[in-house]
Amino acid sequence: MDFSFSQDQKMLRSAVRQWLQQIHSPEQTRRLRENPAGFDEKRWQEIGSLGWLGLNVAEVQGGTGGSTVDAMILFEEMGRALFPSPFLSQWLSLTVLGRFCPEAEQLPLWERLLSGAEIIAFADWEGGNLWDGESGAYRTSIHSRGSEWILTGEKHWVLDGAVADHLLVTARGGDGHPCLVLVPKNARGVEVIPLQDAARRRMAAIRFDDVVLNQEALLMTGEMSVPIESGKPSPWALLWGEFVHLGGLAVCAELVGAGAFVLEEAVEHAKKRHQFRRPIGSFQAIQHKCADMWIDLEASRNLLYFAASRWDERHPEAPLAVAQAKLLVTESVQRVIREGHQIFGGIGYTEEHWMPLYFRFVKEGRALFGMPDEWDRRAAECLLDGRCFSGSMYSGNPSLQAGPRVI
Amino acid sequence: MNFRLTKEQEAFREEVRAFLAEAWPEGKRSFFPDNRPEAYQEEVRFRRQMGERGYLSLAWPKKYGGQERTPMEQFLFHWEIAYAGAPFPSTAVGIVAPTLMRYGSEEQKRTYLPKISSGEIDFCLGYTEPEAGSDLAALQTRAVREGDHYVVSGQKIFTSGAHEAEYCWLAVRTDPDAPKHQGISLLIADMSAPGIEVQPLWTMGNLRTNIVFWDEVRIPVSQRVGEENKGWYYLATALDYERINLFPGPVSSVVRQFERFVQVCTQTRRGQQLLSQDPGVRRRLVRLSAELQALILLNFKNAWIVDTGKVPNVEASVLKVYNAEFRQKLADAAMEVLGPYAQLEASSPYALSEGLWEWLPRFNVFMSIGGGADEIQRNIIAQRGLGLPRREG
Repeated sequence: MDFSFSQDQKMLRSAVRQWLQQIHSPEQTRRLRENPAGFDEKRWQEIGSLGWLGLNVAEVQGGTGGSTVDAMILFEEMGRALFPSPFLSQWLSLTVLGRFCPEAEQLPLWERLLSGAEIIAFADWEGGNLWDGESGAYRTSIHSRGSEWILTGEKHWVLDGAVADHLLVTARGGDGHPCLVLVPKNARGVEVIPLQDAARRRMAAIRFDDVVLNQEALLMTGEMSVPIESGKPSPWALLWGEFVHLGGLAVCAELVGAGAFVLEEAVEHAKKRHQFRRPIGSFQAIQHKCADMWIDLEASRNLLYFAASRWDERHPEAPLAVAQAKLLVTESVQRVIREGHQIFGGIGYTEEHWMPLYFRFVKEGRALFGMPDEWDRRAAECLLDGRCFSGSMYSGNPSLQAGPRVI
Repeated sequence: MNFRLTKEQEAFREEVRAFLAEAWPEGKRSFFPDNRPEAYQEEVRFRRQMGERGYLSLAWPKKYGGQERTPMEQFLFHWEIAYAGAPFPSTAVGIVAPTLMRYGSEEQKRTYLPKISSGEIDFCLGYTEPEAGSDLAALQTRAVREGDHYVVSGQKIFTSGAHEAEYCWLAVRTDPDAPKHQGISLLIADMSAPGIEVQPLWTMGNLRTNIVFWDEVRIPVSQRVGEENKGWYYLATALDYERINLFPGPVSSVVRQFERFVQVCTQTRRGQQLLSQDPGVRRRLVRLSAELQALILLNFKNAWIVDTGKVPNVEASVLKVYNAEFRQKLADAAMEVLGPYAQLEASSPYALSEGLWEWLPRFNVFMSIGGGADEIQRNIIAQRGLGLPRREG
């Protein structure tokens, strides 16, 4: 049992925090909201050269072979700084491709993705039930025409879709199996519709109107993978599950980082701000708000790292831990922001202040990689029905052992 | 970040489980307090069995007959005890013994430590008074020195176990003129001494506690622990220990309650549908499970901090508040999900789970009050943890 970080992890956190402190401030986050790209291209290139994008890519594939826990540290710091960039999408796509796409490092695009020279985003949701993706029940479809593929359909709420050079698109193949397709933004028939989401995460709706793609565009299909053994999740479910669970965890980490910043600043404000001839931080009501914020963050952070650690272990209950984290962290950090607003008072309500930026960021967190209701349903299947992955049953008494044991 | 136990820890846990399977088996594992005299006899018997196995001196140094088990191992032991709903002489083992080992005289150690570790004697905690609760340092029970005795007069309240324990760990005022924290001493009081009157005080949680009147009780000076008027210092150390291991201690009891709740939901129908298939119930259970997992992690983190040789001041307060609130949420959820018959007491026809769900919300009210009220815990978090000012300054 060890709740501390290793020396390497502490160094990673320190390096990321210092870099971000030097080059970024909430003021810049605000200015970048008006920038069509929504992020600083120069800083993006720097991130690429720092090697963080390949944090969870194996060393043989050009990455640094880090763990999910390591990645959460990085995302905490980015959330704390509210640093806008397509980092999450790029990291996620690289990590999942690296793990599931055979010889991903042989892809012509691989080097350029690792360095950030080109941006990639995961386009999966079609506006319906998130978990349909697990079984590949997509309306977006791909069929063959000679030596080419034709892609038709629509994806929504694509994170970083507005700035991506390439899209990883999930679709249903002609034989009914789900597929993962690599689509260049510039291909004819691709229409990217940028959205103005609250947190300016470069969201897009994307239409594919008979887009013609070459053979190599089809990266994976459900059929290409190992046949399903009884009692094991389908290979597609594992691939898709990796996107959604890792994406969800990354968002949780960003939220925890953002919440921690708000608490620290609120406490500093409470010590300095005087009303009724004393610091407002000497009033018990304010003290108790700060205490509640700390409690919420402590609970959130522990659950985040527990879930990340379980994911690293491929623990059978890892999906439950991720679901619990997504649900608890989203709600808890929301409360942190609200209490923060109470402490900052009127000035925190003005757009001049950075609180509204953090408010928007945290608010949108509940809508990334699955809504709370969807995670509720999935967690219930795990907790009560013994189904942690589509089609799989893990051993043990589902209703009791699927309970929250640390060990 | 590593959330697994070592092989040695796993092995120890298995050993404790095996012991409990035999010494406090399923049939004895009630959720409720049992106030019958027969129940106390069972407790004493079990206490002695633990004593024989060295389980009452797990943490003690070998020179006092202990096993020098690590804090994590102690925590794992207490986890299993609490999960099984088994009794444990926490005051004697957790407060009295460590304080004696650090500040007691050689004679006191020789007299009391072996009997505590064998399970022969138990202690009740004489701290709280009608006018000294959260502000414990304001305690007024007076101890006047007369030759080689103190003459003690005053009143204690919420002295649980005073009607059963052989001794009382008693905080008294030996210097009424000094600032309040500097005039307190700790005494070991023999509960069979003349002048002690114990009155039962029944709580809404079915737990019996007591009011204890001390009417010119003579206690030998040799039973004072440590130096006169330094008692608050010793007591504050004990309060921290209490915060970690006693209040709330391991949260395994609420894990067991949650498991029971889930089980009931998977076995009970409302109309045609099992409760566990109802979307609303499923959502509640999921949310509770997430908070429970967070609670378990806070619990283990506290144990881990102690295991690394540090003192978890703020973390203990975080745990206490989270624990109290979760327990109350769980009890509320069970009431709401299980229907009107969750309001039936144990003895009623049609009572559910032997009246567990009717009792639980009543019992849990104390979780946010005893062992340091949640308001005090929040003050600690804000002031010690975040550096917010104590008063106007």
